[in-house]
Amino acid sequence: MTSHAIELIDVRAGYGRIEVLHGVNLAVPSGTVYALLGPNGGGKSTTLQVISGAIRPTSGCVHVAGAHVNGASPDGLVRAGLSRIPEGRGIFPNLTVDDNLRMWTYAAGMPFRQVRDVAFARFPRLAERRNQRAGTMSGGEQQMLAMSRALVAEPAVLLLDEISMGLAPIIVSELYDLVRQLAEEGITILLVEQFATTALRVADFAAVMSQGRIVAVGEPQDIAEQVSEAYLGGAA
Amino acid sequence: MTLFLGYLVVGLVTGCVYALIASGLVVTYTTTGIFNFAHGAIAMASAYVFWQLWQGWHIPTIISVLLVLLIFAPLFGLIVERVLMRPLDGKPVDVPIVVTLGLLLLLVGLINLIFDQTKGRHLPQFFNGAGFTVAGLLVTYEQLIAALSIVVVAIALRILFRQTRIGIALRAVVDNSDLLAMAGGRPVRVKQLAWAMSCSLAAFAGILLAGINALNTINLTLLVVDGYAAAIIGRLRNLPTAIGGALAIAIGQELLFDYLPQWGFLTRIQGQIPILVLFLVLIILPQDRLRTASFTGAVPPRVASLRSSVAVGAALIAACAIVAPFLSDGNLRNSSKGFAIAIIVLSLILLTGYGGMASLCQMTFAGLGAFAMGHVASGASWLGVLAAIGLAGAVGALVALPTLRLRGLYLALATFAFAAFMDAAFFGESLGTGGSLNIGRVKIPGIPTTSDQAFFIVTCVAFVLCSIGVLALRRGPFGRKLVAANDSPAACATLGVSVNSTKLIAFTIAAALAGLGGALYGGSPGQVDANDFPYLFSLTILLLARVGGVNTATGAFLGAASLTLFTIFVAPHNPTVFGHVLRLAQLQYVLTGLAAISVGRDPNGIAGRFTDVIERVRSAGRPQPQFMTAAGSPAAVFMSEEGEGLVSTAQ
Amino acid sequence: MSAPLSDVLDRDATEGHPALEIADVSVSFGGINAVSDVSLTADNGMITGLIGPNGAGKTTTFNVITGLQPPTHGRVFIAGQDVSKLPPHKRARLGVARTFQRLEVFGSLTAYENLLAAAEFHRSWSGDSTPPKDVARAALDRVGLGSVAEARVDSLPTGLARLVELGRALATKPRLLLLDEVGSGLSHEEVHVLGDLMLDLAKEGIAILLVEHDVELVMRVCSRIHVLDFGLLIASGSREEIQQNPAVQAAYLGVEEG
Repeated sequence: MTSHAIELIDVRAGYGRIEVLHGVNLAVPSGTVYALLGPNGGGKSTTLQVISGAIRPTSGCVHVAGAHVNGASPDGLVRAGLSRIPEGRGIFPNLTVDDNLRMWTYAAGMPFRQVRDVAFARFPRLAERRNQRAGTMSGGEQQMLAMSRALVAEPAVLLLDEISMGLAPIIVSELYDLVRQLAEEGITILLVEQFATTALRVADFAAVMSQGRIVAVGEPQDIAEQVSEAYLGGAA
Repeated sequence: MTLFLGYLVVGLVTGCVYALIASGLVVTYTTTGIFNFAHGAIAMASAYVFWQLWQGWHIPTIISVLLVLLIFAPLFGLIVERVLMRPLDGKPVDVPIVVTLGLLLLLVGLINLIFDQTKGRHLPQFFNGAGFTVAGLLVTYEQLIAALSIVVVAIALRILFRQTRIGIALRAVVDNSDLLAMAGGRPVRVKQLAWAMSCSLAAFAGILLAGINALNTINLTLLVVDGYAAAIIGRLRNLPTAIGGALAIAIGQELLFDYLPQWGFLTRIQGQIPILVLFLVLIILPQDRLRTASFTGAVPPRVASLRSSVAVGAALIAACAIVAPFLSDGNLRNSSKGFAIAIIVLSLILLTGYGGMASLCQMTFAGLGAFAMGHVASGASWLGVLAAIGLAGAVGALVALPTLRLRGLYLALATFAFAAFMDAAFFGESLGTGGSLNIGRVKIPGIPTTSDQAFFIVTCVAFVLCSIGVLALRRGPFGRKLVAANDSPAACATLGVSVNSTKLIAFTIAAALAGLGGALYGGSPGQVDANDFPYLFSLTILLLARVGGVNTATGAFLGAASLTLFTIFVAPHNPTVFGHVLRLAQLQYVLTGLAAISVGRDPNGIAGRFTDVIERVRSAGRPQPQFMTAAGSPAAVFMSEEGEGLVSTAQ
Repeated sequence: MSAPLSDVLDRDATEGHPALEIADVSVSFGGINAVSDVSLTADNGMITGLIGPNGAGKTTTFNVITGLQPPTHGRVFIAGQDVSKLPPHKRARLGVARTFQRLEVFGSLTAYENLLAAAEFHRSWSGDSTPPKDVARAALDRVGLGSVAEARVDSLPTGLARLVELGRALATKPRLLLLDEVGSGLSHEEVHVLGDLMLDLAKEGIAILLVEHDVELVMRVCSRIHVLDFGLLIASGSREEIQQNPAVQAAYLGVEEG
């Protein structure tokens, strides 16, 4: 076992003939919040997909919790303690909140009541929406429901893909408070985010990706400039 | 009053059966996104299995029922899921349609093969027709059970879907199958359950229907289609609406039948009301934006140039002229019929292969063509040929107009409904007028078309000319627009053209072509009857085209040729195996069904393999396109040596 | 917290009307506002940028302009003509062409046939007498796809397929060109050449509205930039103004916690 929960060594990957990641190196220390930043199309989501097993790298190594997992099946990784909240809401929009929670019982290993108690304790707002169809809730509430899955599954590693997408800043801020809390409970969190400032507020470390490569790594205060450069072309 | 109540009860019972059918369809559609065209065939097959257990082997009624509903049907569902449906994940959207249609044909063929259709089979009434009297009206226990069963099924489904984890997972898997897997659920288990349940529901409906009607493969399969209308009313998703729709259709049908004046035409279409409702509902209901399938099939090869299509055509005509003297008259007639079928398949190359529109009613258009040919100018003149083309084309346009905005599954269902309707309302009566219709061969000055040899060559030439025409159409602006309209209607609109007229014209030409094929098809044996143009044959034609290569005239030829060879060499034989007379003609459906099912494994099918090989041989001598060879970077193609990209080739 | 709405409508009235003007356009999907009261313009001979984070409503705006998405309210003017009631193909006939972020190529046709079809469509409604083959060939060369002319488009990598869409749009000789992420999937160098091509097109008098996430490209070619966030237009201005605008920085980088 290394002290890195996730480690990528010179990973190349892509879709079909197009290579998107041109040799990515990344090491996420256990128990930290690690932010992966950068403009659209930089390769952030692809990196997450490689880690979660959805895309097989063409070369390089992917380690999760010290184990070599290139091309391991997504559900195998889930059982190994890796949980991913996918981009766009990770919920069943046509089911009620209660029914969504019932689906979380597959991985949670606890009865429905307990799942519901855990989720509602963390997100009291969901309790008010119990019988509402999840797809009709506000974006923030949907994201809370999605994150409740990760909470009850008690994963070792949590991958968050653009959880702030389309959400009002105040909700985003609330969600990130929770992310911070989870990290303090010992979960390693790798998050992909467009809103750099918000993410940097809670991150222990951050990496900036651009055009399929990591262009900067460091603690939040050290890389603010590179972030701005990557997003707005530097003149800011 | 008693009379009215009596009608109501009959309608209610039929409605319950439709509701069972619709529930089964909804269960698989909502969980797997697959509309099971074979649902009716599964019901039919289950009814036969039930008959065999109960009447054939004299197993007690209740045990037979339970064996079918709880063992045979669910097991069959599991097999269907494992063998046929699971490989469909991630396949092009038209593949499930092809596979379930293939299963339909396979089941009809198999049951026909096993159970001699010339022998009548009936299921006795349950409880020997006993019942009780309410307000002077006898209600049989069988009717009571049918009515109660749907209530039980509806309540059970509701509890399952609302209260149980697996039931909720059944709905969750539609919403987001990947997420269910991510959450640790097993989507596959869920889908297995859905198929098992759906087949049980189909079996139940099948047994009840077989009790009301005689056992007959074709009719029973079609009767189940009546339930499709209800499923569509429920938008294939909403069970309560589907069940309500089923009751409304059946009761309405019964009351219309009993209270409308008994005019000839009205009487004939009474049984077709559900099919008409299906057609109307498809046209009227707003379309689901998702799950539209375009029916392009295998990766098309290069479009043949005029020169090569003429050369291949000439070679084909020459080959036919050479073999013609060696063929018996019977085989010549079968072969010219084969070319007629090839022309009908060719109509699908244009419509489906290029335009992406599936039609399950091409034999209907062919039948209209034969009808016109037989009735106009004593049945053997050019006028008849023109009438055949004109009538089929006109009806094609009429069918196309309201269905233009439908795509994929919905268009397939609408044309299916049209074919089934015409089967009963037109071909059953008018065409045969109680028997068959004589159809002559067109008189061509200088060519003795009455000789089977000459007519064989004539049909061959007709096919070659039609092929050259279709290919020329594809190479020209109309063909490009048709393909473009199928590939991206949105892009066409933003490029300033509306594609409706293009689709309408394509549908009309295809129908006219099928009409021409129908005129020749009838001219070969000299007469046709109602059984020449059944909806099952339309399915066969579409599947043959899809399997043979729906994008090439060669595919049309191969499809029709295999059917012809089968007709000549296999179909006439009826060997006896274990005391059973096997009617090998039924293998036509079995084999077509199997071939279609194989498309689920490899969407490009046999034809795809074939063209793959040809393309590889062709390109072996040529330099590869640059972007394939330029290592790693697909874009290297733009970087000429001077390092200028994009515009380097511009002046 | 909410970003200040800057003054956006710049009716600097060169002679006549801007090539494109949309006024107070809103689109909502099931109660959620994808685009809210957006007004913007694009002028002839100029490249106008439309940028913003994912889900900001850029593509929806394009769909409203081309008529594929009916707006909840608001109006669209093309060269001064109110086209709000016109179906997509009628708008295209006023000289509007676009590319799609989610590819809408004619996949089973070759690259050349894609452009040829477009040229034929154009001739069918414009009465332009130039042979479509010449038009298609010229457009093909212009976007640099000569070497893959005979390849079926569904066998091309995404980047090239996007260029097919661009070529197809050019084959209709547009006056207003809407480009939706046309550079994604191309290499750095290719994007540069693509930028040159856009500048050339603008020089010929075409109005270009560009949605693009490659900030470098946007900053290089656009004279004016509109920024969308959560369906709201949060800024419009020159590239320098946009880069300095705090609301834009907040939209892209997130809000600094006080």
